[in-house]
Amino acid sequence: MQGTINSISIAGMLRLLCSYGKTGSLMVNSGKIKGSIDIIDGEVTGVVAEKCLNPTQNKKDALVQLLLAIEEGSFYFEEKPPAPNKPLGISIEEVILESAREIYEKYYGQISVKDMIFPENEVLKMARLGKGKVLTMTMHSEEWNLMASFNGDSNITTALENTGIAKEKAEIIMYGLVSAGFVRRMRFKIPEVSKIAKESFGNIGVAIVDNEMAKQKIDSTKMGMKNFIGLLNGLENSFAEIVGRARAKEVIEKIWNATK
Amino acid sequence: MTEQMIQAYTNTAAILSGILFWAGFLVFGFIAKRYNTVFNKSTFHGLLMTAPSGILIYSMLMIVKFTMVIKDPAINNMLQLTAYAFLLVSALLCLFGISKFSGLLSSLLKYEGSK
Repeated sequence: MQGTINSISIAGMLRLLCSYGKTGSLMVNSGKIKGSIDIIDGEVTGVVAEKCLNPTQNKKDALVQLLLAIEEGSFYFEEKPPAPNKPLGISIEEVILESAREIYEKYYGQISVKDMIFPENEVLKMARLGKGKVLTMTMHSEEWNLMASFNGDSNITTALENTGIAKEKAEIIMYGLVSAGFVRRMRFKIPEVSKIAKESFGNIGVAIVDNEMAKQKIDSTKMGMKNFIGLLNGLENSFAEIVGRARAKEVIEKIWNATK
Repeated sequence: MTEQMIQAYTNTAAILSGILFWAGFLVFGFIAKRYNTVFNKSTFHGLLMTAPSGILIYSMLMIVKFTMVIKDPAINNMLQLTAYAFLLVSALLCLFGISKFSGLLSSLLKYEGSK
């Protein structure tokens, strides 16, 4: 199994390998950061950081360093049993959050997670823990509060704003939360309703959308799923008044499909 | 075709046209009413629906004039004058209503969004 870092983060890949109980070695190479992570039955048993930004002898810190390979590079998972060492007892989720902390505390402005985070109109919510999963870890209040703000209703922009954390920092924390599997993308995202309305009805379509938002007192930048459902109902009626029920249904269907 | 038949034909055509014009403007008024419902802006739909009734009155007066046996030419002339007066007022009101609705439509067509 191999891939490039811009298609999936090392952190996300490591979590998946561990959660599926894989055995093998994950090789990481981004030029500045190079190393390998040994995994046996989903447990990290060894970490080697040949090159990293802040060399360390500590295995957990070395793993954090390897997870900083975010912007470029490649990884390769060799499904061959590594040296039969004992598990290091490292919580993958904790190490992932720690790597995010490392970015905003030490490498802010040097490492960007922009390409690894979801678009701002996506809706996230807290993920469930798998059956039997035990989690022991440290979380900071900002991390917890941001996680709690992903309520499955508000989009990312609103959730980030509600926490009051600086946007750039909040994005890095969000990257950590997503990579650690604590929040996941909902099936729905808020589509660009005005754009679809414009494609379908021209400027009148945009006017109808803005008018309906004003009627329902919806702020397009802070629209949640409940608002969105209400907006769709209102829009269907408004479109039907102007272009007829059949055409209105067709466009509403188009908007609905864009949420998936 | 005798002169009497031509007269009957033109009268019937005038009355039918009046009724069709009235129906057409009424539909137009209903469309304006829909825009009023959606955008909550004045579309003068009430005016657009009532103004054409002058055209209908014109048609009715013309029917009265041509079907009733009114011997007095003065009354006939009065009926005709009243009918055309209603037609003129109705046409002016329709023009006013349509120009207002047209203004709303063109502003919607130029609409680029609230931000």
